[in-house]
Amino acid sequence: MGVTSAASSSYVAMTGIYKQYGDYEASKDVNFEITEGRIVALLGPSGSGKTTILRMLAGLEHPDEGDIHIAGQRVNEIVPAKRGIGFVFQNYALFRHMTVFDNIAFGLDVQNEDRGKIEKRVTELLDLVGLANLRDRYPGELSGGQRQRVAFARALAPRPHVLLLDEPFAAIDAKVKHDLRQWLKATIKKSGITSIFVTHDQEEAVELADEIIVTNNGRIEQMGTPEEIYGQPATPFVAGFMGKAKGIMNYEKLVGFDKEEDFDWAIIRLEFVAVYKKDADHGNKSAVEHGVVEAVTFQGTRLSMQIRIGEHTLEAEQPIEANMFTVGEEVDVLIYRLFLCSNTDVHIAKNKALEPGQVFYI
Amino acid sequence: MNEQNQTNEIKRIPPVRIEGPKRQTSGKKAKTPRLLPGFGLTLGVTLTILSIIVILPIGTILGFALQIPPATFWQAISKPVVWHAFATSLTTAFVAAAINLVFGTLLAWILVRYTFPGRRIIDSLIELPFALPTAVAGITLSKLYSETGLLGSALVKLGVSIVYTKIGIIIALVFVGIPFVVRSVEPVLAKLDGSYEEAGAVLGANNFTIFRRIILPEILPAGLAGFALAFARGLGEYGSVIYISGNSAKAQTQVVSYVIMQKLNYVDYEGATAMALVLLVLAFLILLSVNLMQLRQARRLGGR
Amino acid sequence: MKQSNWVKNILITLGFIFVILMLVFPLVTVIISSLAQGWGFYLKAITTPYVLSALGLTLVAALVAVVVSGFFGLCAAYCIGKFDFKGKQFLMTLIDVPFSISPVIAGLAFIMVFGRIGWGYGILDTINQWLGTNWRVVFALPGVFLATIFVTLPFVFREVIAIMHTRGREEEEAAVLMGASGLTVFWKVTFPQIKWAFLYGVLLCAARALGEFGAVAALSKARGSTFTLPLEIDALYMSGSATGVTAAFAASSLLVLMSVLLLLLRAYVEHRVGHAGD
Repeated sequence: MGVTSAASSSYVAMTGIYKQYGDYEASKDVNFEITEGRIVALLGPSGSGKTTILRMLAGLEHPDEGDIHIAGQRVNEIVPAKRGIGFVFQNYALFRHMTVFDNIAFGLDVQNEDRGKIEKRVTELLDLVGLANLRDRYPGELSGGQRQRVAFARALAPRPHVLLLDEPFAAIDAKVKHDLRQWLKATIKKSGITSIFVTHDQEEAVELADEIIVTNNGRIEQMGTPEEIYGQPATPFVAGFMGKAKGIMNYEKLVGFDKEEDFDWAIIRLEFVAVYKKDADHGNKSAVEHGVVEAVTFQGTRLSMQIRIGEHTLEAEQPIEANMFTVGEEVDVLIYRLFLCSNTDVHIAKNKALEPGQVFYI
Repeated sequence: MNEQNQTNEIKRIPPVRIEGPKRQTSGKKAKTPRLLPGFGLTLGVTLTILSIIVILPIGTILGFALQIPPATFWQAISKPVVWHAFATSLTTAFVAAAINLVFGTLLAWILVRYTFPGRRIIDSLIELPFALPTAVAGITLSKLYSETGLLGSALVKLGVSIVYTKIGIIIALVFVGIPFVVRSVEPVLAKLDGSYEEAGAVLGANNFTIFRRIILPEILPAGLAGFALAFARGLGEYGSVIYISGNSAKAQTQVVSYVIMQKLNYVDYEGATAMALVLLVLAFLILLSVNLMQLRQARRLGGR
Repeated sequence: MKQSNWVKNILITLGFIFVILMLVFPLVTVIISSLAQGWGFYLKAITTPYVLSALGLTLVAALVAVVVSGFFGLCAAYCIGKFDFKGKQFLMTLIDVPFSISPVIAGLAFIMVFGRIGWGYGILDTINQWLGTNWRVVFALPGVFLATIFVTLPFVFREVIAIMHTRGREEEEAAVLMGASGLTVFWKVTFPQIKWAFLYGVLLCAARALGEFGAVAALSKARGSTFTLPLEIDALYMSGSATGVTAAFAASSLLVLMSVLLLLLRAYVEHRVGHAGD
C-alpha cells in the first residue's frame, strides 16, 4: 500500500489526496508512489475513482487536499501543460483536420521548436510506432489501432516525464486488442517512459502493467504486481474483483473447510474448482464433493458449467478436449481452496482433506 | 434458482468497508480552474452584444408595456382594428402553417426518398423564401395574383380573386413558411433507417399502415416544430404580406405587424407597445413549445 | 420500402406543382415584370441616384451585420459549446429571440430605446453635447445598422454551435495539455473544425441582411439617404404608377440576383459542411 510521504526514489506520487464532487467522494485518502520506468494500471469498476486520479495527475482536475509529485516536483499549482505529462485520451482526440505528421508535431510546434528538430523528432516517433508510410494521412483515414498509435506518438513527442493513458483500448476492436496490447507494452518499454493507464478490464491490466493499483469507492484497495494482486489479495474486494469469482455463505459445509471466527463468507474462483467424471481415478476421493451438473455452456475452446453441491451452485470450466459433461450428470467436484472473508480481511484457506504433497496450479 | 440459493449465496461481493467519520474539508474548496482558456472573454463579448442588440431593446418594450395602466392597455388591445388584426394574423398564420405542414412533409419525403430529375433544383428552390427579401416576395406575389399577373389573370376568369383577401395573406405566408417544415422534417426522415419500414413490411403491414404507424410518429415532432416555426414567422410577418393583403380595415385584411407599423407612424407608442407585448407573449409560447418538442425528439432519438 | 410506382409519381407530381406554383412562378414574375418596359428602361431604373444610394447602403448594412453577427456567433458558440455553466440553456434561448420576433417589433424596440421618449435619447444627447456632435440612432444610419444586426444575430451562432456540439472539446483539451495558448488553440484547432459552418452562417446572415424590410422600415424615413434597397423598392411600388411598379421590379431584380448568388454559394458550402462533419 501507499507510503505517506513522497520519497525521493519515487517518480510519481500522490499523498493524502481527497476529492469531492458535490456529495460524491471521488477520492478518499489516496496514497501511492510509482518508480521510474514502470507501467502502472489503475484498475477498478466504473465510478471507483480511477479516472479522477489520472485526471488529477494531468491537472485536468484539482484535489481538495493532498500533494501530487511528478519527477521530484510538487505539481499541485503547476498548469497541465507544464507538468511534463503526455496524455492519451480515451477517444484519442486527434486533430481531425491535421495530418498524422502535424498531429505528432503539434506539441513541439506550440513550443516554437526549431523546424529541423521537429522534423527529426516526428520522424523518429513515426518509426517507433511504425506509421512512417502514413505521415500525410488524416485521422479519418486510419483504423482504430493506427489512431491509437498516432495519439501515443503525439503524447510522447515533447518528451514528457510521464505518460497518462485514459482507457487506451476502449475504442479498439476486441479481435485486435491482444496484439495491440503486446505492441503497446513493448513500445512503452522501448521508450522507457513511466506510464500510468486507466482500465476497468483486469485482463488488460494484468497483461500490460508491471504494477496494478486497484481502486474501489474512491480508495486504493491494493497496489502490487499482477501476481500479488491476483494471488494475495489484500481485501475481500480485490479477492472478488480479480478473476471470475463468486461469493458464498456457509462455506464450512464444503468438504475440507472449517468455519473460522469473523470470517463469515468466502470467495471461490473459477480455477479453485476441478470437475471429474464419477468414475475417474483422480486420487483425491476423500476431498471431493458430489455434485450435479445443472447447465453446460459451450464457450469456444472451453466448456463452462454450473454445478450444484448441496445448497451451493458453483461455476466450473473445462478445456473442450477434456471430458464432455451433460446436464443432470453426477460428478466429483474438487475445491482446492477458498478466500475466506471477514468485513475487512481476507486470507486463503486450503482444502484440508487434500493429501499432503498434492500439487496444483492456478 | 430456488429460494435456498438466494439466501445462501452472494452473487455480488458486498461492499465491506468500515467508514470513518465523514471528513470535513477545511474552508472553501479550491475551485477547479477551467482548462480551456477564453471563457470569460467570450462570455463577456456574448453578453455585451446580446444586451445591446436584444435584451435591452426588448426589455424596454416590456418595461414600457407593463407601465401602461391596465385600463389603457385593455382599451388599446380591445379596439376592433386591433382585435381584427390579431384574429386575421392568427387564423391566416395557422392555416398557412397547416398547409406547409402537409406540403413541407411531402416535399421532404420526395427529396429524401426518391431520386428524380430536377431533385437538386427543387432542393435549392426550397431555400428561396429564406433568401428572397420579403418586400420583393411581397410585391411579386401581389403582381403574380393580380388581374394582370400570370396566375391572377387565369383565376379572374374563374371568378376567383386572391389579391386583397385573406387568401392572399395565406399564400404569402405559405411562401415564407415552407422552408421551415421541409428543413425540420428532412434530417429526421434521412436518419430514419429503412430497416424500420422493412420490419413493418415483414410483419405484414401495408404501405399506408407503415406510414401511419411507423413513419408518422417518428417525424411528427419535427413536423410540428416546423409548423410552430412557420406559425411564429407568419404571426409577425410584415414585408411579404402588406402588398397582397390590401390592408383594408373593412375587409379585415390588416395583419398585426401592419397595425403596429401604422401606430408607429401615428406616434401612438402606447398602442404599438401594447400590441407588441401580446405578440411577444404569443411568440414566446410558440418558441417554448418548439423547444419542448425538440427536447422530446432528442430524447426519443437517444440524444445528441 | 417497396412502393407502387403510381404513389411515387403522384407524390413527385404534387411536389412539382407546389414548387412551381409557389416558388418558380414568383421568380419568373420578378424577371418578366422588371423587363416589362424594355432593357433601356430597366438600365435607367437601376441606376437612379435613389436606387444607387439604397444599393450602397444595403451592402454596407449587410457588411456591418455580417461582421458583428459573425464575431458574436463565434464568441457565443465557443463559450456555449466548449464550457459548462449555469444558465446556458437560457442564454441559447435568448440568442434565438430575433428568430421568433416580428421585425416590426425590433424596429419598435429601438425607437423605444433611442427615440425621443426612450431612455437612450438622453444619454445620446449628453454624449453629443460633450463631443459637440449630432449623432442620432432612430431615423439615421445607426438605426438601420442596429435593426439589421438584430434580425441577423442568431444565424452564425446557430450554424457554428451545431458543429461544436458534435465535436466536443477533447481536441482543444489535448492542445492545451501540450502547451498551446488560447489563440493557438482557437486558430489551429477550433476554427478549422467550424470554418465551413461559419461561412454557411455568414451567407445566411448576408442574405437576411440584404433583404430586411420591416425592422428597417420602422427606423428609416429618408429616401436617398437612409433607405435600403427593400425600402426603395417599397417606395417605388407604392408610387402606384406603372413605371414606378416596373422600376420597383427592376430594383428587386438586383436583390434577387444577389439572393440567387448566395443560394448557389450556400449549396456549395453545404456540400463542404457535410464533408467536414465525418
